[in-house]
Amino acid sequence: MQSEICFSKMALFNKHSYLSDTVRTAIAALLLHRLRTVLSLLGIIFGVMAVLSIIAIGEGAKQETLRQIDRMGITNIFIKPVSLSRDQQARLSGLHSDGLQLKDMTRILKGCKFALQITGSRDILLNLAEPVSGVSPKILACTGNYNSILQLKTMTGRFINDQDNIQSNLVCVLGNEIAKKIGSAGKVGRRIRIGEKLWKIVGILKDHNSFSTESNKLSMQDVNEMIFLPINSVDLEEEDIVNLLDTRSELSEIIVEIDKKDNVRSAAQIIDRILEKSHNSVEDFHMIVPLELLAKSMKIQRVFNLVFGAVGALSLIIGGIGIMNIMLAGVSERTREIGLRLAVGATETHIIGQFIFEALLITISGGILGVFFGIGTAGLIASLAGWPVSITAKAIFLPLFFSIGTGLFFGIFPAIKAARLDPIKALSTYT
Amino acid sequence: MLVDVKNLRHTYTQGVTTINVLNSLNLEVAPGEFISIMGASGSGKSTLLHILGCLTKPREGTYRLGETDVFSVTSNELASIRAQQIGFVFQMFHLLPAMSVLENVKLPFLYNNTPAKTAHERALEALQQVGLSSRTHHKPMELSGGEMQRAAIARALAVNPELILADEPTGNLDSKTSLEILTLFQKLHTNGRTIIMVTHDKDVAHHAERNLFLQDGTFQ
Repeated sequence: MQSEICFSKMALFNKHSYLSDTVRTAIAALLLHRLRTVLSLLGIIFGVMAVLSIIAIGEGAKQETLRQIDRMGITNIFIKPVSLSRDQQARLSGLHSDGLQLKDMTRILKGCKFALQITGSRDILLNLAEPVSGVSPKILACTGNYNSILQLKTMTGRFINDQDNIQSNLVCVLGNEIAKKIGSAGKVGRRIRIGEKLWKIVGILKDHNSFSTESNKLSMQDVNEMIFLPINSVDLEEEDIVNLLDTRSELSEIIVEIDKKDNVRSAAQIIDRILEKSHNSVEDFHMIVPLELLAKSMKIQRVFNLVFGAVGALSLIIGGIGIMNIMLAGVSERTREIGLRLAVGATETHIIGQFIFEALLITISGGILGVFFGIGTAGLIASLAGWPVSITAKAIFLPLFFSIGTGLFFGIFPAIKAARLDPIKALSTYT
Repeated sequence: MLVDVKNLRHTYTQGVTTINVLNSLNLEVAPGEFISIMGASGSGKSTLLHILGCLTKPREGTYRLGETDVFSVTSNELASIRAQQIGFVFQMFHLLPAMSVLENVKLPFLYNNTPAKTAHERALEALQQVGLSSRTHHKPMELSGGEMQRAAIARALAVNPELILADEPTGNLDSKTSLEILTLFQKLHTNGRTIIMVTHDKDVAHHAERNLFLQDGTFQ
């Protein structure tokens, strides 16, 4: 037993000397031809850099999309009115629809068994009667559960509730930013004048992060800059021009919350049928299903990743061929050394290990440099193009492992070639 | 016997021609012997040395090195024999230029399970035996031809091999340095080393205890 332990200790010691010799020999061999080594490194650096940047951009876009979808609610369905062109109206030939109505909400809730709750809202064109400098709030009249579906939280006070709508209370809830801008007048319990009426502030919302990508069609309205009123407390006649969309719609948006993610698609079909029937087949509404947008976005993302990932991988493969090239040159130049090592007792495995290590040394150091340059490139893209980038563990380790794999794959052939050399022929080579 | 070779036959193929290099060759070497093998160029003496050094397998024959039937072991076991039981001295020295003299001498220890400390001590000891203690950290290019060959002999000695094989060890040296090297071999022989030396030079061969002449693939 003791002799076994002694033997394994000896093997370990010897492994250390073999390893240190392998490391030293590899470094010496690579330093001997610096330009050749640098050129091979460049292939790996650019490959890793490209793959990392692509993954970082892809991940950033994916996370941004997910964040937006998450804010919209993956189980929500948004219905918005559509203004019809004159041609479309002419083609209706007597068919009539009043656009999105509060009644539609009741029909959906009754007809769609998957609908958990529903809310409706209307954009109001009224403004603060006593304008505050730099304040231009968007005013939205909504039903009581608007905050529950969109998960809006109040910082102080409460949100609009059903009672406010039933009693047509003149109350309002301020977005966080608006409350700050109004100052002392924007506190719970104070009243502000909107249009002709005074509205009592009953709540102030928490700060909700707005979306960074302004051009994205999914972006919600910035609730920090909004004032919410009970929908029944606003008379249509009171608004100067009520509807921004120039439709007869009573509502500018209906949001339906579905019981679970799996039912969203079926629910969307049912709601479409309900509205088609109640709107007499007039297509004056359109549905936004975040789940489907997510699926489409992910599909585009996958194609993007695949195409650009392939470009990066190709670059790494070209880098790998470069490595194989210098390894083969190294085998030719060091034939006598290989012959000598074999003559004094090296096995094929020792020689293979030595050459594989050299290939790995290039790819690992190239890979690490590529990661640093890749992070820099991703950061540069983020600041110059304004794209969201996310450097995840996957973005770092995937190209790094791929480059190591490249080193192994392209290093193995020269290594085997070296190990299979005939020691006598190798020793008699004049190089 | 340390070396027991029987009915060794080896051929080379050059294009369509098959050349018989060794033909029914027998050789017995006792431990501690110093043998020289002479022969004309192409007589097969180097091939025989490569076979004895486990670098080439012949077409036919048997070869026992101590207790081991050399031709029946795997390539890894052959490598292990080369690393532990055989020390090579080449005409061209074959020292690695990037390594110091000491590192060159320690090279075989990388492959024979010797702890680093022991390897270091034994390499220094071998360098002392060949009179190169003061040159341990020099690079081979900084040595004279004789010193290079002495470093190569130290490399062969360091692992304490049962058999030292020298292929034209003085072939690249002037007569004075050759004499120094041959004196060193004689000293090693006096200390009980078994040495087989291949040479084409009669004067060199006469330094050995026993001289063999190889002609037409067999000993005369």
